[in-house]
Amino acid sequence: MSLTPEEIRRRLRAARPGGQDDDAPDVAEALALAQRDPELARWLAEERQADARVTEALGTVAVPADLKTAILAQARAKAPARPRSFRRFSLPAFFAFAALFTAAATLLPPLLHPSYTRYEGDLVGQIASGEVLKLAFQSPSHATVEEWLAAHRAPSEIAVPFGLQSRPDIGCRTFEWKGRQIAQVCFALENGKIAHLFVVRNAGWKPSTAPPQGHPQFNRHGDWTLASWRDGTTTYVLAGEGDPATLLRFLQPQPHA
Amino acid sequence: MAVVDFEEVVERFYAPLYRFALSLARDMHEAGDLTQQTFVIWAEKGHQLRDPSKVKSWLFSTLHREFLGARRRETRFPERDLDASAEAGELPVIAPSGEASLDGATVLSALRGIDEVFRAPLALFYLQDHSYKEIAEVLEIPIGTVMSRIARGKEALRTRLAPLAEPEARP
Repeated sequence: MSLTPEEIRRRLRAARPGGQDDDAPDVAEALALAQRDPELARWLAEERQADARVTEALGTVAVPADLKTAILAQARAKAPARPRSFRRFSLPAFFAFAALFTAAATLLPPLLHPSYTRYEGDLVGQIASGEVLKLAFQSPSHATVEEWLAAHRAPSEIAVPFGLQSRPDIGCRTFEWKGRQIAQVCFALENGKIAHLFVVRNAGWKPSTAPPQGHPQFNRHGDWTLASWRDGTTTYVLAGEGDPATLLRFLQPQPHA
Repeated sequence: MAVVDFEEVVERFYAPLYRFALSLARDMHEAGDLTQQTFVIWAEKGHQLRDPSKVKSWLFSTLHREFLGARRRETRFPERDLDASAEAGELPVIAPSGEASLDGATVLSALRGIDEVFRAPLALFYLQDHSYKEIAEVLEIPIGTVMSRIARGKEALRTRLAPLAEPEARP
């Protein structure tokens, strides 16, 4: 026998249970040897049975019903023009198409392209790099912070979560992300740490995987947790150190009197 | 230039790509984003692909690169170089009745729990669309490494599935 039993197993474990790879030289050689050895043959039958069940189970994972539609809408906005089709156009039609294409190329990508995951990923990148601590304006007064944001064309009518309303502001900054102006407000917490609230207006930005309306979704990134939610036409992201429970206490609704 | 109809490509690959993304990503939202982003890149650059038979590998490879890029941006963790040549030990056995009760969510949850180095080749293997040679092409690693990672990945997956299957196996 030229291959050890372990090498035979290693090769056959990489062969799909449906037999699609059985003719590949590496697999065929191992398969021929396994079929001559009753113990290996029994092992292979069990291995393939187990693999087939896992494959079958994974095949039942549902795909979102609107994913294909979203892909076609989003990707078409980025599709390049095809030069060969221009000859068939009349001159007015060409200019109409060119104007339409220019408008689409200018307007659609910033509106449709950026995914929510990318937005959150970029915020995490800013937290990791310390960029979020370079505040442009410092004040403990939230009203004053909002005035500064309004003067700098950033989202300024901010619905601060109830649990943070009693915490003093440290300050704020604004920055541009994919053509959108983001407001960032920092709050001082009791434990000496800082929570960052990022605010972006949704107008025209409709990522298919936007955060839920009215209640937060949590994602953990290393030592930080990000809670994100939509409130009307605004998307909020609250970032804080610790697990989701750390942020959840700030996001409790205001108790009724 | 490959003459490939965009809608046809989406129709053929969006579901397996989404399932692959789901095995890598932390939730369905990120998986949806990764899948969409892959087709956005295809819309931009797919026409540069000369060999139409490479569309599948190109798409899965692009999705995997996007996933790794996003993770690097998020965590800034250094890349690890695991010992890919390590041989798999004896695999845990799942009781037949337990195996029969496996569903997609259970397998997916177990898959997400294993190291990404093993998870990506294993997900491609179980998605049935890829031979080990194609997996090597998608992940840009040697064939021998793919074989070892599939073996190690199966070991890790079955270790995670075994306790879940046990209650079903008991009378």
